[in-house]
Amino acid sequence: MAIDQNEAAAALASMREVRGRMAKGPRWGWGYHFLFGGVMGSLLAVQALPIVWRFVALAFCFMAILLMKKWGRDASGRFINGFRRGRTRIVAVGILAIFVPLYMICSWLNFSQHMWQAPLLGGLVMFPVGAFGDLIWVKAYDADLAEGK
Amino acid sequence: MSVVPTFDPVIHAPLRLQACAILSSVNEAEFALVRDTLGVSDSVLSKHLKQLEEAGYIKVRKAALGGRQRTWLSFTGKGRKSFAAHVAELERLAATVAAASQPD
Repeated sequence: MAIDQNEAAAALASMREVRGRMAKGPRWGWGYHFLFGGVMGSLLAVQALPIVWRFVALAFCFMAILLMKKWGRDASGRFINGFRRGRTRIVAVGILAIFVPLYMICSWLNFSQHMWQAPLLGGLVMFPVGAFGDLIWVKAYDADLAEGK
Repeated sequence: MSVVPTFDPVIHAPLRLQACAILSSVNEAEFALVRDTLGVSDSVLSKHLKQLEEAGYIKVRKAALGGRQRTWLSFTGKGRKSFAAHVAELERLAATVAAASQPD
């Protein structure tokens, strides 16, 4: 089966159009963004806890991540890898670029300088970064879809 | 990794091409989302998805949620590669239009 150039261009346009429609589909909502920020902040803040409680809190964080994955799927009818190509990857790497150094600084302050408050402050900083980062990620995803990517 | 542009008649049918465009933008999509985005009936979409599934391009997974069965769709590795090759072929063909319409 052979197609001509105009048919190829029309097929590409129809793909872009349907991805644009996807951008107007069901959303995750603010609750999801806040929970994401909460988990990111908690992953930092748990360092302030005694070792046993730290592991209990980490177990809760990982359980929350699994529940968020299910919530996201059910609410939006789709599952997307956070590190998917496009603008979304830049946002995901940006969030990690804040999280990892902050985690290391808080660890150093807590364990070497005995400033146990540092992870709590780090968690407080990370909460809005995670929540707004997640919101920006969704906007980036929508922008990618609207452009047919 | 470069993709060899290859026309794929299984993917090229308009509705299947659009369904593949949706699946390529997610890891997994629910049947209802694909159906509503395309604006078609369950039976029409099922017929087209069956062809993609028989070609080994998509995986269909059933999961229960609140006593209701939900169907999830995702590309297989073969499907993702075939779709990328098909899109590359469409872009190659469309580029010849763009080149031909350029003023001298």
